[in-house]
Amino acid sequence: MRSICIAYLIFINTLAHHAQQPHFRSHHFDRISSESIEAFVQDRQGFIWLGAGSNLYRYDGLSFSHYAVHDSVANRITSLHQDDNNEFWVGLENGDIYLGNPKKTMRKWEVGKDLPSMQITGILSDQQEKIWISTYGEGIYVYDGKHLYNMNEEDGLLDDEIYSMAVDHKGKIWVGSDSGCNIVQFDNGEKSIKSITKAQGLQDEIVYVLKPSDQGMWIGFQSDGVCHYNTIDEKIDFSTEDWQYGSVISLSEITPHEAWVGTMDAGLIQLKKESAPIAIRFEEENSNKFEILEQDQEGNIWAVSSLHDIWSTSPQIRVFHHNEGDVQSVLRDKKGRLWVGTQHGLYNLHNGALEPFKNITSNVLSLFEDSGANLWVGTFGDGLICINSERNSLFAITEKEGLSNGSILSIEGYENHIWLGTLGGVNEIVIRSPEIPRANNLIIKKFDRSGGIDADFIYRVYRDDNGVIWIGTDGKGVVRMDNHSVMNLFEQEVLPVRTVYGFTELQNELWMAAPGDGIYKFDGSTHKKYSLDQGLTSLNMSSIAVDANNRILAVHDDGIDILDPHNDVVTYLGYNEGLDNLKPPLGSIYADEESGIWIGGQDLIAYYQPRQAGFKKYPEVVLDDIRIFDKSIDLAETEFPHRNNFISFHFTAIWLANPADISYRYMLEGYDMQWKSTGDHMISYSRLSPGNYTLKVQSELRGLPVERSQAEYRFTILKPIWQRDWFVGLAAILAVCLFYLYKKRIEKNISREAAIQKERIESQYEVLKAQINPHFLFNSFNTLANLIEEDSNLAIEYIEKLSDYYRSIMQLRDQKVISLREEIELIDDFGYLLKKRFGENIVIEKQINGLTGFVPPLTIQMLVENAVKHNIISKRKPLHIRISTKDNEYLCVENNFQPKMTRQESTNFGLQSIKTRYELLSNKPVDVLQTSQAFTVTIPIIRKIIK
Amino acid sequence: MLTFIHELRPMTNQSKYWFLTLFSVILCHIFSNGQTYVCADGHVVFKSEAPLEVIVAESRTLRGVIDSDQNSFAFSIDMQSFNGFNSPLQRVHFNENYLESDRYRTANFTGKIIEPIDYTVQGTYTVRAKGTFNIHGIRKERIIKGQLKVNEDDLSIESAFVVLLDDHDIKIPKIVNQKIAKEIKVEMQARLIIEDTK
Repeated sequence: MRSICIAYLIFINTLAHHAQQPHFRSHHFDRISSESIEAFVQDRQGFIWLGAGSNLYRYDGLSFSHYAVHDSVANRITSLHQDDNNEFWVGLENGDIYLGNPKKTMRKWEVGKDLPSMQITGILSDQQEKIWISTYGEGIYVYDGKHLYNMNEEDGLLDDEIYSMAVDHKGKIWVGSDSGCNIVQFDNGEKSIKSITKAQGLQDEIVYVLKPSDQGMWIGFQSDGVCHYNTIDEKIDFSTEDWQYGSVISLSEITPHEAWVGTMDAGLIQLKKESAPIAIRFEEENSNKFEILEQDQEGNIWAVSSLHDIWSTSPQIRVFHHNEGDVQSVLRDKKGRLWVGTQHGLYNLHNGALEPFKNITSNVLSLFEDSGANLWVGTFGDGLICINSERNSLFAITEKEGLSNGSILSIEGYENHIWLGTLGGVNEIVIRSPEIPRANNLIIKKFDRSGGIDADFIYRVYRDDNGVIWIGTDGKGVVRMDNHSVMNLFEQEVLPVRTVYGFTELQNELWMAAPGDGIYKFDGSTHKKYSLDQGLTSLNMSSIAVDANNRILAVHDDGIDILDPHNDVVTYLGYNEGLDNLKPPLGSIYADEESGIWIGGQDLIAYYQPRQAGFKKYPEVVLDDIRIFDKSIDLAETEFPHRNNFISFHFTAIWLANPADISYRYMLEGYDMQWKSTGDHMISYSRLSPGNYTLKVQSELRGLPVERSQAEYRFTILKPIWQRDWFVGLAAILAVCLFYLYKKRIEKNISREAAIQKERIESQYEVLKAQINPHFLFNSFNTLANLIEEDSNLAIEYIEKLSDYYRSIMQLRDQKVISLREEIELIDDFGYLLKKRFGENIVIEKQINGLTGFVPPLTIQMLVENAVKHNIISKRKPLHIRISTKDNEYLCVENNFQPKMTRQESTNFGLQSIKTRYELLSNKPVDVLQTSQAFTVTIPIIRKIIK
Repeated sequence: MLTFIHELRPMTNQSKYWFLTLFSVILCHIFSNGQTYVCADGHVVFKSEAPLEVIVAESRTLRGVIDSDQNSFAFSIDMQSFNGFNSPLQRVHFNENYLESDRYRTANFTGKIIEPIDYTVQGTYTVRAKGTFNIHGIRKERIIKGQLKVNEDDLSIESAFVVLLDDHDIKIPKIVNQKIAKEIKVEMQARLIIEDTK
């Protein structure tokens, strides 16, 4: 018994996981350069950087651009790294290191003396952002931002010649050399070095390659293959035995159970933990030495060959080519054996070849394994074959035994029930449990036109998790069958699908592959259709399945569309994966327990494995340059003056799996009304008006926008100076100030005017007062009375003069200034009156040269009146008043000084009033000169009138 | 040590380098407890298998040392000492045109042995020798597999490896490239004895 078990196990293990080959495609770097590529890194944006000779190249999936590290660099680039601050580190064969941004400038790394002087074999950043540098001959260097430290054999390293360096998931640094591995830590100046060598179980001393995994480290040796060291259990949990493939020079993990290994002489090897290694075949003969193997952010594997070429593949798809016709059905049974049904018969895929099974040469259409491990084989025309679980006996069921038709397109089963979709309706087989099926212990029920399903051609029968049977017919719609009823969803107008080739379910929803139509999702009452508009590449669907990441796989003539139902993003596997001529027969799909999906095609079998978690699922847009008038600006700037207004935005979304599928759509919020599509990497706007804008850019996969990929950039165009708030404010304040000043000036003028006016009124008043002064009137009347007695004619003249005088006063008093002529005329009248009153006792003399100019009204009159008022006028002492012009500018009123004894009441108003009025009218002063002999007042003549 | 100085040819730059290595190996030996094994008999054969011709040549003037303490080695051979060939003219071409042995008189291989060997325990060990091949003035680091046998009184080593003409810039004119292989197969055997320290 035991030996049988062992034999069994050996059998399983030697079932080399079949010869499923990944499909690599070339990027033709050898057309660009004939130098060897010795360094490879993918930057944060997704671009791939290569060091070939002393030159740097950047690859976006479609074309290579060349960058020089530095003018004087001629040494080969041997290491590339991008640190956490997005700076690039370039290590050369002579120990020199350059850093910076290759698109702008790079500078030589000089942090003191004792820099590396031997070939740089690795540069990486640890979790504390320290930089580690491994060299070939000087051990390792650590840079913590301040000091550069060196660790070598003297410090405890096994060897100074370091082949490779890696950082594990715990953050510790591993280095590989001729004597094994060291695990190094360096914190706060304290170093710790641990060794893992042959003594700890390594199968070889020379460690060429180190690559980290989620749980430890893959180790590749010079002579004895590969092992995996588990850092959680601290032991080796996998190692190759009897390694025949030579030196391991590169390695990349695919899944925790599989790694690909590049060897010195035996090409690329697929290494699986539970089975024998498989060589990966390349279409080109001599590309067999792969010095670099790396996995990118999308999960694709890149392989750099010594023939200066770069290859890539998506490990999601492996393909096996064969010659046995169309693969119409695939199944992997519980023992791990892969069954393949073609037009020529039934086969097992074993050791890389299809081996016919027994004598089954019928056209095999369908396969199913029941709960008892019996294999049911549906053929075209020859009915159903049942192969027992030991695979050593079989029997057939045909129409003779009760089937409605001999062509079985689909087989489904549950416990002891088997459902068949045939060209003559649905049949149900019940196995009298718990017996092993035999020709004579089966009950066959027919569901054909007579049995409630009005259809002959049944393409698919599917049992969902709730026990409901779904039937896909040819043009008659989907039929739903459960314990209670049979319902045709098309006739009931619940589901408008006519033909279905495949069913699957996800989260209680049914998904269908409808040829010529697309995919449908159905929740029991409502449905959703996915077609070209939703991103599908083709409508010729032939089968459908769900992968381990809960995404829908829809298989069609040109490949596979993978739909993520959460965000409706569709990715496509086709030409680049070797699937472009898939032409799968309907229903030729099988999801196995290892979460892979087998798909049969025209002359190939494809094996699909979903992408591991942690990889990019869709292309993300990165804004990598913003230029104003073609000069790059700092991306942190978000405000631009209104003049600098020709802005161009440069962006990229890297999708290395299918770079030709990428296009972009953009919208400038604040300017554009809707999204616009472009295939370019840049858009520009000019003469934007001031305001706030947000630029949104999304990537499109085969024309369909990927909303989650959006990159945004908010910026502001500032208003021109004259529209800015502070300017406007300042201007307003200035305006207010000016207005205020202007107002004040006017007010000043007004108040000046008012003052003049006031003076004038007051003086008028005073004059009037004086004139209506009863005293003067009394005297005047006295004089008049005398005159009437003396000379009536003279009296009449006197009255006329008196009334003239008063009339003049009334006329002239309102004016600001009156002409000198007018004033003198007034004086003449006044003088006459005085003469009549005082006779010879008063003498008024005039010496006036020219009567041009102006004076305030009644000025001279007031002065004369003053003289009369205050001085003695008698026969003995006559009063002489002389009015003269001086220099044509002044008027003098002079009288001899003989003051009265009894002073008449004097307010001194008159003189003051004259002085005040002159102040307002002229800047020349009024002069008063008092001597013992005379009293002189000099008043200026106003030439210019200030209005 | 005196023997060696006497036998050295006039020094070229490359020979000087080899001599220094040898000298330092021996110097280390003086200050250590290990043994120095010196090559007593050495035999090197190379074979070129080309479509139109097979050429074989051999030499018995291999010189070398193994330092058991450092686990390191240094070997050298005089290129002009190879004999065999298919004609004397071929030998002349070998020396004058291909290997330019007047400029690059010796080819040598120096380095260390990866696997730790206990030279006191007799037995056969499969080892890898990592070192630098210096042929035709061009150096290339290689790891060569070989067998090292510790006998009672001496060591015997043997190894088979391939030398690529391209690796050492050995240019074959196109006209004869069907007669000379790009990869030369080399086999060597040697016996080394403990050096007498007088």
